[in-house]
Amino acid sequence: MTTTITQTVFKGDTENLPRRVPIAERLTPEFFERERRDIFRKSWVPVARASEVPDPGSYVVKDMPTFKTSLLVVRGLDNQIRVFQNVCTHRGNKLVRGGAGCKRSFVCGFHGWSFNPEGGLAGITDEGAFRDIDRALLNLPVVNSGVWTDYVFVHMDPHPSETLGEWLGELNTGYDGYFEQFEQIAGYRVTLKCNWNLAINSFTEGYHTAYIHRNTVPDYQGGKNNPKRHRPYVELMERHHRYSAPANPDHRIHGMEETAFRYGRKAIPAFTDDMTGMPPGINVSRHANWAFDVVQFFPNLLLLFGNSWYVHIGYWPIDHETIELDNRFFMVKAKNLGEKISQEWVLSRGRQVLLEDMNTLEAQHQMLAAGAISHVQLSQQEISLQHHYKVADTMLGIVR
Amino acid sequence: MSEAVLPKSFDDLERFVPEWSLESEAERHWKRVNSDLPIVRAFHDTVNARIDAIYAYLNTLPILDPKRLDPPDRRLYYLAVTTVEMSHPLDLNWASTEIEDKFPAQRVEMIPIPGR
Repeated sequence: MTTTITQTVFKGDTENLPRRVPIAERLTPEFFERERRDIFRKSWVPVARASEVPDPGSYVVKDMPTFKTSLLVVRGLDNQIRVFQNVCTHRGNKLVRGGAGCKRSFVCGFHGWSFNPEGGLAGITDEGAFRDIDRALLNLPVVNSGVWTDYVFVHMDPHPSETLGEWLGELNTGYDGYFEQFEQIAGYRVTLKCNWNLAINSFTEGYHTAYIHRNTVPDYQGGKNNPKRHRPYVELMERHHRYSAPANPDHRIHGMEETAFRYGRKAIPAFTDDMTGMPPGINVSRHANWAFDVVQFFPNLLLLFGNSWYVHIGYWPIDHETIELDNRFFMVKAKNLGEKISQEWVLSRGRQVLLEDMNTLEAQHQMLAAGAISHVQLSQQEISLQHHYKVADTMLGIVR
Repeated sequence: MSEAVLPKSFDDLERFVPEWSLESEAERHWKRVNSDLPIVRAFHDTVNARIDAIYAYLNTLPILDPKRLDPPDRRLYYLAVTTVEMSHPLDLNWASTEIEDKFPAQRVEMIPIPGR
């Protein structure tokens, strides 16, 4: 019997990518300020979930360290979601100090000015004492926003050169109906001493999985027909990329995992490639031994898509060497308590996997920031990283 | 008569409730990490022997939010969830209840999720 080794199908422009990437220069404060200006302020980035503001008047405050500001995401009484600078237009006080809720009016605690959920100035206290007032200048400052599936994106440039749909490109379609089936089962926040590029890079290749995750999910990917765990499908887009991870058909289900999957849905580290009801964006190539997809929404959102679960990781740089990780775990809504117990099995295993993934970030940053080596060397199974740096360089106007 | 600790027919597990019926993810994580493997094994193996009965019983309940269950059902649910947490070092044959090569979990904020 012959064994057919899985070959990676690459889609997109795989030529002219940097395979040896100069890295030390990217880890300086000066370089990060360029990235903040030319990448983060020129990109559509995710700020909230539409489901976080379910009703007219619902709002959520999002402090955005990357932009050194605070945003107010509100669903208006007209049911439209808008994003504003979270600021009173009188003298600049932060309008809502934090949290989420539902209001008909946002009242500034400083002098009592009020704003409606559509961002309009509603009331000025002692208005007669103001001279030459132009109320049109005093509505909440609007931040450009758009909704994709359940995600609210913002663009901090007042005049984005592309719509959200244009920015998302191939990712704009193909995910209809996917997100509605899930409930959030966990959320983690952590601040790390690591450059944001290194942080997102460490999650966008599968090469590491055989080594870093040897203690927690030793046999979840690859198998006899794919011992090197090559990705069956990799797609490089204008800015974003996605790949599918290969399941191991011979993964050994045992112990509590066997119990959990008898009463609940299979998820990491066991997979099913049943694509029933999955929209075309999931497992695009319809690979038979499919485990999950990894999608980087350039620059800083990573989504992992399985058929019973998905994971969200937002990477928010604070400066050149500090990042805030926002990690959330979702599974298909449980229909009974047994399914919930099984979800907790997946989650408690997955948490250990995440702790392993995070374990290289600060160590790698320390050595690269020290200038111990000047470049990183990337394989074709790390082509998503090659692509990341090409996209970043293009936005930064760097020609190599 | 005092209130039952666990639903009838799970009396044999009552002794584990104060220490092991833990309602938050962080509590369960740290209970595992801070417990010796033989203690974890003794707890896990005893509850695991009843795990099918626990699943079967809890699946008959119409409520999906464990925090809204009657106290005996709620304690049983979280006893099962703690058992699940304890299964990993045993099923993966770790030398102790935590591995060395991992990021320090004390630096990770585990955010409580409604309905968990």
